[in-house]
Amino acid sequence: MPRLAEAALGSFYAAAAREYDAAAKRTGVVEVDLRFADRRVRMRFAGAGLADALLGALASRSDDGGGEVDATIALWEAQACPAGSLACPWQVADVGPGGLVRGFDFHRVLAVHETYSGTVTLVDSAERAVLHRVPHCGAVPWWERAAPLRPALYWALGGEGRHLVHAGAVGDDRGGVLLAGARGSGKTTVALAALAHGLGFVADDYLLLHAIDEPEAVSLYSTVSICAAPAAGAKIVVDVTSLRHGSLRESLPVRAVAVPRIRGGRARLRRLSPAEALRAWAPTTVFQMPFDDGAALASLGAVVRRVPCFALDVGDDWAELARAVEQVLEQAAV
Amino acid sequence: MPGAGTSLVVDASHVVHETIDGEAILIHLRTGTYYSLDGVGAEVWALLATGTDADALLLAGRERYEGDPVEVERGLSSLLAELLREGLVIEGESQRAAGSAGLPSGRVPFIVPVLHTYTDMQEFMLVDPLREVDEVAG
Repeated sequence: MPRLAEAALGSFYAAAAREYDAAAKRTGVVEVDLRFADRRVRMRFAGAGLADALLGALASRSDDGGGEVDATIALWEAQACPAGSLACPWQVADVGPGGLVRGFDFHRVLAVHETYSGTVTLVDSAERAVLHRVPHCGAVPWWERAAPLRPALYWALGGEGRHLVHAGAVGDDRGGVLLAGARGSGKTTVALAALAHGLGFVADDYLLLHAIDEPEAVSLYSTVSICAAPAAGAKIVVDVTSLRHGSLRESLPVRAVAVPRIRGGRARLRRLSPAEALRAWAPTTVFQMPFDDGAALASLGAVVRRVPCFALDVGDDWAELARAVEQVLEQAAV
Repeated sequence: MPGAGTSLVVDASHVVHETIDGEAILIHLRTGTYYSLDGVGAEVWALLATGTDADALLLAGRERYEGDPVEVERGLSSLLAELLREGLVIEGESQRAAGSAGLPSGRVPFIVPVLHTYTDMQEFMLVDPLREVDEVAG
Protein backbone atom coordinates (compact mmCIF):
# COMPACT_ATOMS: atom_id res chain seq x y z
CA MET A 1 0.00 0.00 0.00
CA PRO A 2 1.34 3.47 -0.77
CA ARG A 3 2.23 5.33 2.39
CA LEU A 4 2.39 9.02 3.09
CA ALA A 5 5.13 10.59 5.12
CA GLU A 6 4.24 10.47 8.78
CA ALA A 7 4.67 14.22 9.04
CA ALA A 8 1.96 14.81 6.44
CA LEU A 9 -0.61 12.83 8.41
CA GLY A 10 0.49 14.26 11.74
CA SER A 11 0.23 17.86 10.61
CA PHE A 12 -3.09 17.18 8.87
CA TYR A 13 -4.44 15.69 12.09
CA ALA A 14 -3.44 18.84 14.01
CA ALA A 15 -5.00 21.11 11.38
CA ALA A 16 -8.16 19.00 11.30
CA ALA A 17 -8.45 19.26 15.09
CA ARG A 18 -8.35 23.06 14.75
CA GLU A 19 -10.98 22.82 12.02
CA TYR A 20 -13.21 20.84 14.37
CA ASP A 21 -12.75 23.47 17.08
CA ALA A 22 -13.80 26.22 14.68
CA ALA A 23 -16.85 24.27 13.53
CA ALA A 24 -17.82 23.45 17.12
CA LYS A 25 -17.49 27.09 18.13
CA ARG A 26 -19.88 28.00 15.35
CA THR A 27 -22.48 25.25 15.84
CA GLY A 28 -22.20 24.33 19.50
CA VAL A 29 -21.33 20.86 20.79
CA VAL A 30 -23.63 17.93 21.45
CA GLU A 31 -21.76 15.61 23.82
CA VAL A 32 -22.90 12.03 24.24
CA ASP A 33 -21.21 9.16 26.07
CA LEU A 34 -21.68 5.68 24.67
CA ARG A 35 -20.94 2.54 26.62
CA PHE A 36 -19.94 -0.76 25.01
CA ALA A 37 -19.51 -3.37 27.75
CA ASP A 38 -16.62 -2.04 29.86
CA ARG A 39 -15.57 0.70 27.43
CA ARG A 40 -16.86 4.25 27.33
CA VAL A 41 -16.54 6.46 24.26
CA ARG A 42 -17.25 10.18 24.32
CA MET A 43 -18.81 11.59 21.14
CA ARG A 44 -18.49 15.35 20.60
CA PHE A 45 -20.71 16.40 17.71
CA ALA A 46 -20.36 19.87 16.22
CA GLY A 47 -24.04 20.51 15.65
CA ALA A 48 -27.23 18.64 16.45
CA GLY A 49 -27.92 17.73 12.82
CA LEU A 50 -24.90 15.46 12.61
CA ALA A 51 -25.74 13.89 15.96
CA ASP A 52 -29.22 13.07 14.65
CA ALA A 53 -27.82 11.56 11.45
CA LEU A 54 -25.25 9.30 13.11
CA LEU A 55 -26.60 8.49 16.56
CA GLY A 56 -29.75 6.62 15.58
CA ALA A 57 -28.17 3.17 15.42
CA LEU A 58 -26.08 3.92 18.52
CA ALA A 59 -28.78 5.52 20.68
CA SER A 60 -29.21 2.39 22.78
CA ARG A 61 -25.57 2.60 23.85
CA SER A 62 -26.05 6.10 25.27
CA ASP A 63 -25.02 6.21 28.92
CA ASP A 64 -24.87 9.25 31.17
CA GLY A 65 -23.73 7.31 34.21
CA GLY A 66 -20.29 8.88 34.16
CA GLY A 67 -16.98 7.10 34.50
CA GLU A 68 -13.60 7.09 32.84
CA VAL A 69 -13.63 7.77 29.11
CA ASP A 70 -11.56 5.31 27.07
CA ALA A 71 -11.65 7.21 23.78
CA THR A 72 -13.08 10.37 22.26
CA ILE A 73 -14.52 10.94 18.81
CA ALA A 74 -14.95 14.52 17.57
CA LEU A 75 -17.34 14.87 14.65
CA TRP A 76 -18.16 17.77 12.37
CA GLU A 77 -19.46 18.72 8.95
CA ALA A 78 -17.14 20.19 6.34
CA GLN A 79 -19.87 22.64 5.40
CA ALA A 80 -19.84 24.02 8.96
CA CYS A 81 -16.28 25.32 8.59
CA PRO A 82 -16.38 29.10 8.30
CA ALA A 83 -13.26 29.31 6.14
CA GLY A 84 -13.91 26.18 4.07
CA SER A 85 -12.65 22.71 4.89
CA LEU A 86 -9.07 21.46 4.59
CA ALA A 87 -8.15 19.45 1.52
CA CYS A 88 -6.75 16.01 2.27
CA PRO A 89 -2.96 15.84 1.73
CA TRP A 90 -3.13 12.49 -0.06
CA GLN A 91 -3.92 11.42 -3.60
CA VAL A 92 -6.39 8.72 -4.62
CA ALA A 93 -3.40 6.41 -5.23
CA ASP A 94 -2.51 6.74 -1.55
CA VAL A 95 -5.86 5.33 -0.48
CA GLY A 96 -5.75 1.59 0.09
CA PRO A 97 -8.43 -1.05 0.65
CA GLY A 98 -10.97 0.00 3.22
CA GLY A 99 -10.03 3.63 2.55
CA LEU A 100 -6.90 3.27 4.68
CA VAL A 101 -4.13 5.88 4.38
CA ARG A 102 -0.95 5.42 6.38
CA GLY A 103 2.30 7.16 7.11
CA PHE A 104 5.65 5.55 6.31
CA ASP A 105 6.70 4.23 9.63
CA PHE A 106 3.34 4.54 11.18
CA HIS A 107 1.91 4.15 13.59
CA ARG A 108 0.61 7.02 15.58
CA VAL A 109 -1.73 8.67 13.07
CA LEU A 110 -3.65 7.07 10.25
CA ALA A 111 -6.59 8.05 8.12
CA VAL A 112 -9.57 6.28 6.63
CA HIS A 113 -11.04 8.06 3.62
CA GLU A 114 -14.33 6.88 2.21
CA THR A 115 -13.99 8.55 -1.14
CA TYR A 116 -17.57 7.87 -2.24
CA SER A 117 -19.15 9.96 0.51
CA GLY A 118 -16.08 12.09 1.22
CA THR A 119 -16.02 11.07 4.87
CA VAL A 120 -12.61 11.21 6.55
CA THR A 121 -11.66 9.55 9.84
CA LEU A 122 -8.36 10.44 11.48
CA VAL A 123 -7.01 8.35 14.31
CA ASP A 124 -4.39 9.25 16.88
CA SER A 125 -3.86 5.78 18.27
CA ALA A 126 -1.60 6.91 21.11
CA GLU A 127 -4.22 9.31 22.47
CA ARG A 128 -7.21 7.10 21.57
CA ALA A 129 -8.62 10.21 19.93
CA VAL A 130 -10.53 10.15 16.65
CA LEU A 131 -11.61 12.96 14.32
CA HIS A 132 -14.47 12.28 11.94
CA ARG A 133 -15.50 14.74 9.21
CA VAL A 134 -18.44 14.27 6.88
CA PRO A 135 -19.25 16.63 3.99
CA HIS A 136 -22.70 17.39 5.44
CA CYS A 137 -25.20 15.47 7.48
CA GLY A 138 -27.70 15.24 4.64
CA ALA A 139 -25.20 13.20 2.60
CA VAL A 140 -24.72 10.36 5.13
CA PRO A 141 -25.39 7.18 3.08
CA TRP A 142 -27.74 4.43 4.22
CA TRP A 143 -24.96 2.05 5.24
CA GLU A 144 -23.45 4.71 7.46
CA ARG A 145 -26.81 5.26 9.13
CA ALA A 146 -27.18 1.48 9.64
CA ALA A 147 -23.68 0.90 11.05
CA PRO A 148 -22.11 4.30 11.63
CA LEU A 149 -18.51 5.13 12.42
CA ARG A 150 -17.05 1.65 11.99
CA PRO A 151 -13.42 2.76 11.46
CA ALA A 152 -13.72 5.21 14.37
CA LEU A 153 -15.20 2.60 16.68
CA TYR A 154 -12.69 0.03 15.51
CA TRP A 155 -9.91 2.17 16.92
CA ALA A 156 -11.85 3.48 19.90
CA LEU A 157 -12.85 0.02 21.11
CA GLY A 158 -10.30 -2.36 19.64
CA GLY A 159 -7.16 -3.76 21.18
CA GLU A 160 -5.52 -7.06 21.87
CA GLY A 161 -8.21 -9.72 21.59
CA ARG A 162 -10.89 -7.10 20.92
CA HIS A 163 -11.99 -6.56 17.37
CA LEU A 164 -14.87 -5.08 15.46
CA VAL A 165 -15.88 -8.04 13.32
CA HIS A 166 -18.30 -8.80 10.51
CA ALA A 167 -20.86 -11.03 12.21
CA GLY A 168 -24.30 -11.05 13.75
CA ALA A 169 -25.33 -12.58 17.06
CA VAL A 170 -28.59 -13.67 18.65
CA GLY A 171 -29.42 -15.62 21.78
CA ASP A 172 -30.82 -15.55 25.28
CA ASP A 173 -29.74 -16.26 28.84
CA ARG A 174 -28.11 -19.51 27.68
CA GLY A 175 -25.69 -17.46 25.59
CA GLY A 176 -25.29 -16.29 22.04
CA VAL A 177 -24.97 -17.82 18.61
CA LEU A 178 -22.56 -15.87 16.49
CA LEU A 179 -23.69 -15.61 12.86
CA ALA A 180 -20.65 -15.57 10.60
CA GLY A 181 -20.50 -15.22 6.86
CA ALA A 182 -20.02 -12.94 3.93
CA ARG A 183 -22.47 -10.33 2.73
CA GLY A 184 -25.65 -11.97 1.44
CA SER A 185 -25.12 -15.24 3.30
CA GLY A 186 -28.32 -14.87 5.35
CA LYS A 187 -27.13 -13.40 8.67
CA THR A 188 -29.89 -10.79 8.73
CA THR A 189 -32.58 -13.33 7.81
CA VAL A 190 -31.53 -15.61 10.68
CA ALA A 191 -31.30 -12.66 13.09
CA LEU A 192 -34.79 -11.46 12.15
CA ALA A 193 -36.23 -14.98 12.41
CA ALA A 194 -34.68 -15.42 15.85
CA LEU A 195 -35.93 -12.00 16.91
CA ALA A 196 -39.47 -12.76 15.69
CA HIS A 197 -39.52 -15.95 17.76
CA GLY A 198 -38.46 -14.46 21.05
CA LEU A 199 -34.66 -14.60 21.04
CA GLY A 200 -32.54 -11.60 21.90
CA PHE A 201 -30.62 -9.56 19.35
CA VAL A 202 -27.01 -8.42 19.61
CA ALA A 203 -26.17 -7.62 15.99
CA ASP A 204 -27.04 -8.49 12.42
CA ASP A 205 -23.83 -7.41 10.68
CA TYR A 206 -21.13 -5.93 12.92
CA LEU A 207 -20.26 -6.44 16.56
CA LEU A 208 -17.40 -6.03 18.97
CA LEU A 209 -15.80 -9.38 19.73
CA HIS A 210 -13.94 -9.98 22.96
CA ALA A 211 -11.91 -13.07 22.18
CA ILE A 212 -9.74 -13.42 25.25
CA ASP A 213 -10.83 -16.20 27.63
CA GLU A 214 -14.58 -16.73 27.22
CA PRO A 215 -15.56 -15.09 23.93
CA GLU A 216 -18.20 -12.41 24.15
CA ALA A 217 -20.27 -10.66 21.47
CA VAL A 218 -20.89 -7.00 22.35
CA SER A 219 -23.62 -5.05 20.59
CA LEU A 220 -22.68 -1.90 18.70
CA TYR A 221 -25.81 -1.05 16.73
CA SER A 222 -29.51 -1.64 17.34
CA THR A 223 -30.30 -1.77 13.62
CA VAL A 224 -30.93 -4.36 10.93
CA SER A 225 -30.51 -3.56 7.25
CA ILE A 226 -33.21 -5.13 5.12
CA CYS A 227 -32.84 -5.46 1.37
CA ALA A 228 -36.23 -4.27 0.11
CA ALA A 229 -35.34 -3.96 -3.58
CA PRO A 230 -32.15 -5.86 -4.46
CA ALA A 231 -31.80 -4.22 -7.87
CA ALA A 232 -31.69 -0.78 -6.26
CA GLY A 233 -28.81 -1.70 -3.96
CA ALA A 234 -30.00 0.40 -1.03
CA LYS A 235 -31.41 -1.21 2.11
CA ILE A 236 -34.01 -0.16 4.62
CA VAL A 237 -32.59 0.45 8.09
CA VAL A 238 -34.85 -0.74 10.93
CA ASP A 239 -34.29 -0.38 14.67
CA VAL A 240 -34.94 -3.73 16.37
CA THR A 241 -36.29 -2.04 19.46
CA SER A 242 -39.20 -0.88 17.30
CA LEU A 243 -39.87 -4.49 16.28
CA ARG A 244 -39.91 -5.99 19.76
CA HIS A 245 -39.41 -4.12 23.00
CA GLY A 246 -36.64 -5.51 25.15
CA SER A 247 -35.13 -7.58 22.34
CA LEU A 248 -31.74 -5.83 22.29
CA ARG A 249 -29.03 -7.52 24.37
CA GLU A 250 -25.99 -5.49 25.34
CA SER A 251 -23.75 -8.52 25.08
CA LEU A 252 -23.84 -12.32 25.18
CA PRO A 253 -21.18 -14.96 25.77
CA VAL A 254 -20.54 -16.77 22.49
CA ARG A 255 -21.63 -20.41 22.83
CA ALA A 256 -21.50 -21.39 19.15
CA VAL A 257 -20.75 -20.12 15.68
CA ALA A 258 -23.30 -20.65 12.91
CA VAL A 259 -22.48 -20.04 9.26
CA PRO A 260 -25.69 -19.37 7.34
CA ARG A 261 -26.12 -19.93 3.63
CA ILE A 262 -29.22 -18.87 1.68
CA ARG A 263 -30.61 -22.07 0.16
CA GLY A 264 -34.39 -21.77 0.14
CA GLY A 265 -36.61 -24.71 1.01
CA ARG A 266 -36.13 -26.25 4.46
CA ALA A 267 -33.73 -25.00 7.08
CA ARG A 268 -30.98 -27.53 7.74
CA LEU A 269 -28.30 -27.69 10.36
CA ARG A 270 -25.04 -29.64 10.36
CA ARG A 271 -21.77 -29.51 12.25
CA LEU A 272 -18.92 -27.62 10.65
CA SER A 273 -15.24 -28.00 11.33
CA PRO A 274 -13.52 -25.02 12.98
CA ALA A 275 -11.43 -24.54 9.85
CA GLU A 276 -14.54 -24.37 7.63
CA ALA A 277 -16.10 -21.82 9.96
CA LEU A 278 -12.94 -19.73 10.01
CA ARG A 279 -12.77 -19.81 6.21
CA ALA A 280 -16.34 -18.47 6.04
CA TRP A 281 -15.82 -15.79 8.66
CA ALA A 282 -12.25 -14.52 8.63
CA PRO A 283 -11.82 -13.19 5.08
CA THR A 284 -14.93 -11.01 5.18
CA THR A 285 -13.82 -9.52 8.50
CA VAL A 286 -10.16 -9.04 7.58
CA PHE A 287 -10.90 -7.49 4.18
CA GLN A 288 -13.70 -5.21 5.38
CA MET A 289 -11.67 -3.90 8.30
CA PRO A 290 -8.07 -3.98 7.15
CA PHE A 291 -6.97 -1.53 9.81
CA ASP A 292 -4.83 -3.92 11.87
CA ASP A 293 -3.15 -5.93 9.10
CA GLY A 294 -5.21 -9.02 9.77
CA ALA A 295 -4.53 -9.26 13.49
CA ALA A 296 -8.18 -10.27 14.00
CA LEU A 297 -7.52 -13.62 12.31
CA ALA A 298 -5.85 -15.13 15.37
CA SER A 299 -8.74 -14.02 17.60
CA LEU A 300 -11.34 -15.48 15.25
CA GLY A 301 -9.32 -18.68 15.20
CA ALA A 302 -9.39 -18.79 19.00
CA VAL A 303 -13.19 -18.49 18.97
CA VAL A 304 -13.87 -21.27 16.45
CA ARG A 305 -11.47 -23.56 18.33
CA ARG A 306 -13.34 -22.95 21.58
CA VAL A 307 -17.01 -23.29 20.62
CA PRO A 308 -18.90 -25.68 18.33
CA CYS A 309 -19.50 -24.52 14.77
CA PHE A 310 -22.47 -25.23 12.52
CA ALA A 311 -23.56 -24.70 8.93
CA LEU A 312 -27.12 -23.42 8.71
CA ASP A 313 -28.93 -23.69 5.40
CA VAL A 314 -31.35 -20.77 5.42
CA GLY A 315 -34.77 -21.84 4.22
CA ASP A 316 -37.96 -19.89 3.71
CA ASP A 317 -39.69 -20.68 7.00
CA TRP A 318 -38.68 -18.34 9.83
CA ALA A 319 -40.11 -20.61 12.51
CA GLU A 320 -37.82 -23.39 11.27
CA LEU A 321 -34.87 -21.04 11.29
CA ALA A 322 -35.58 -19.98 14.86
CA ARG A 323 -35.84 -23.64 15.87
CA ALA A 324 -32.48 -24.27 14.22
CA VAL A 325 -30.92 -21.50 16.30
CA GLU A 326 -32.51 -23.06 19.39
CA GLN A 327 -30.97 -26.40 18.42
CA VAL A 328 -27.56 -24.76 18.12
CA LEU A 329 -27.91 -23.37 21.64
CA GLU A 330 -29.07 -26.75 22.96
CA GLN A 331 -26.22 -28.65 21.31
CA ALA A 332 -23.69 -26.06 22.46
CA ALA A 333 -24.81 -26.62 26.04
CA VAL A 334 -24.09 -30.37 25.90
CA MET B 1 10.12 -23.75 -9.63
CA PRO B 2 12.39 -22.06 -7.07
CA GLY B 3 16.09 -22.43 -7.81
CA ALA B 4 18.41 -24.70 -5.85
CA GLY B 5 19.27 -23.28 -2.43
CA THR B 6 16.49 -20.68 -2.60
CA SER B 7 15.40 -19.60 0.89
CA LEU B 8 11.65 -19.17 1.18
CA VAL B 9 9.68 -17.31 3.82
CA VAL B 10 6.05 -16.37 4.25
CA ASP B 11 5.52 -12.75 3.14
CA ALA B 12 4.51 -11.60 6.60
CA SER B 13 3.94 -8.00 5.50
CA HIS B 14 1.07 -9.05 3.25
CA VAL B 15 -0.04 -12.49 4.39
CA VAL B 16 -1.76 -13.63 7.58
CA HIS B 17 -2.46 -17.28 8.26
CA GLU B 18 -3.96 -19.61 10.79
CA THR B 19 -3.88 -23.40 10.92
CA ILE B 20 -6.68 -25.35 12.56
CA ASP B 21 -7.08 -29.12 12.62
CA GLY B 22 -4.61 -29.60 9.79
CA GLU B 23 -6.08 -26.96 7.49
CA ALA B 24 -4.11 -23.80 6.86
CA ILE B 25 -6.08 -20.68 5.94
CA LEU B 26 -4.01 -18.00 4.22
CA ILE B 27 -5.20 -14.45 3.56
CA HIS B 28 -3.34 -12.15 1.19
CA LEU B 29 -4.08 -8.64 2.44
CA ARG B 30 -3.14 -6.91 -0.81
CA THR B 31 -4.92 -9.00 -3.42
CA GLY B 32 -8.17 -9.85 -1.62
CA THR B 33 -7.57 -13.52 -2.31
CA TYR B 34 -7.61 -16.20 0.35
CA TYR B 35 -6.48 -19.80 0.24
CA SER B 36 -6.57 -23.08 2.06
CA LEU B 37 -4.16 -25.97 2.25
CA ASP B 38 -4.63 -29.33 3.90
CA GLY B 39 -2.71 -32.60 4.16
CA VAL B 40 0.71 -32.36 2.54
CA GLY B 41 0.11 -28.71 1.67
CA ALA B 42 -0.59 -27.74 5.29
CA GLU B 43 2.56 -29.57 6.43
CA VAL B 44 4.63 -27.72 3.84
CA TRP B 45 3.06 -24.42 4.89
CA ALA B 46 3.94 -25.03 8.53
CA LEU B 47 7.55 -25.51 7.48
CA LEU B 48 7.49 -22.36 5.34
CA ALA B 49 6.00 -20.37 8.21
CA THR B 50 9.24 -20.86 10.12
CA GLY B 51 11.37 -20.42 7.01
CA THR B 52 13.16 -23.05 4.97
CA ASP B 53 14.85 -23.44 1.63
CA ALA B 54 13.65 -25.35 -1.38
CA ASP B 55 16.36 -28.00 -1.22
CA ALA B 56 15.77 -28.75 2.45
CA LEU B 57 12.05 -29.00 1.86
CA LEU B 58 12.46 -31.43 -1.03
CA LEU B 59 14.87 -33.53 1.02
CA ALA B 60 12.49 -33.59 3.96
CA GLY B 61 9.67 -34.47 1.59
CA ARG B 62 11.49 -37.53 0.30
CA GLU B 63 11.89 -38.76 3.88
CA ARG B 64 8.33 -37.97 4.93
CA TYR B 65 6.23 -39.10 1.99
CA GLU B 66 5.81 -42.57 0.54
CA GLY B 67 5.59 -42.87 -3.21
CA ASP B 68 7.60 -42.27 -6.35
CA PRO B 69 10.37 -39.79 -5.34
CA VAL B 70 10.12 -38.05 -8.69
CA GLU B 71 6.40 -37.55 -8.21
CA VAL B 72 6.94 -36.28 -4.66
CA GLU B 73 9.55 -33.78 -5.84
CA ARG B 74 7.40 -32.66 -8.74
CA GLY B 75 4.37 -32.15 -6.49
CA LEU B 76 6.27 -30.19 -3.86
CA SER B 77 8.10 -28.07 -6.43
CA SER B 78 4.83 -27.28 -8.14
CA LEU B 79 3.30 -26.15 -4.84
CA LEU B 80 6.29 -23.94 -4.01
CA ALA B 81 6.14 -22.35 -7.43
CA GLU B 82 2.44 -21.63 -7.00
CA LEU B 83 2.95 -20.13 -3.53
CA LEU B 84 5.65 -17.88 -4.97
CA ARG B 85 3.50 -16.92 -7.94
CA GLU B 86 0.60 -15.97 -5.64
CA GLY B 87 2.89 -13.84 -3.50
CA LEU B 88 2.29 -15.93 -0.39
CA VAL B 89 5.97 -16.69 0.07
CA ILE B 90 8.97 -14.74 -1.04
CA GLU B 91 12.62 -15.49 -1.47
CA GLY B 92 14.47 -14.21 1.54
CA GLU B 93 16.37 -14.88 4.67
CA SER B 94 15.30 -18.06 6.44
CA GLN B 95 14.16 -17.43 10.00
CA ARG B 96 14.39 -21.05 11.03
CA ALA B 97 16.77 -21.80 13.81
CA ALA B 98 19.37 -24.46 13.16
CA GLY B 99 18.19 -27.83 14.39
CA SER B 100 14.51 -26.92 14.57
CA ALA B 101 11.94 -29.43 13.38
CA GLY B 102 11.14 -29.97 9.72
CA LEU B 103 8.17 -31.95 8.45
CA PRO B 104 6.49 -34.24 11.00
CA SER B 105 8.23 -37.54 11.65
CA GLY B 106 6.97 -40.86 10.30
CA ARG B 107 6.07 -41.75 6.76
CA VAL B 108 2.70 -41.09 5.15
CA PRO B 109 1.42 -41.58 1.60
CA PHE B 110 2.05 -38.65 -0.71
CA ILE B 111 -1.08 -36.94 -1.96
CA VAL B 112 -0.40 -34.16 -4.42
CA PRO B 113 -1.00 -30.89 -2.53
CA VAL B 114 -3.58 -28.50 -3.90
CA LEU B 115 -3.71 -24.77 -3.15
CA HIS B 116 -7.43 -23.97 -2.95
CA THR B 117 -7.95 -20.38 -4.10
CA TYR B 118 -10.92 -18.13 -3.30
CA THR B 119 -11.45 -14.79 -5.03
CA ASP B 120 -14.97 -13.87 -3.86
CA MET B 121 -13.68 -11.13 -1.52
CA GLN B 122 -11.70 -9.18 -4.08
CA GLU B 123 -14.41 -6.50 -4.26
CA PHE B 124 -13.10 -5.25 -0.92
CA MET B 125 -9.82 -4.31 -2.55
CA LEU B 126 -11.70 -1.55 -4.35
CA VAL B 127 -11.52 1.81 -2.63
CA ASP B 128 -15.31 2.02 -2.36
CA PRO B 129 -16.66 -1.52 -2.54
CA LEU B 130 -20.23 -0.59 -1.67
CA ARG B 131 -20.37 1.96 -4.44
CA GLU B 132 -18.90 -0.45 -6.96
CA VAL B 133 -21.31 -3.23 -5.98
CA ASP B 134 -24.28 -0.89 -6.20
CA GLU B 135 -23.23 0.27 -9.62
CA VAL B 136 -22.91 -3.28 -10.86
CA ALA B 137 -26.29 -4.18 -9.41
CA GLY B 138 -27.94 -1.45 -11.32
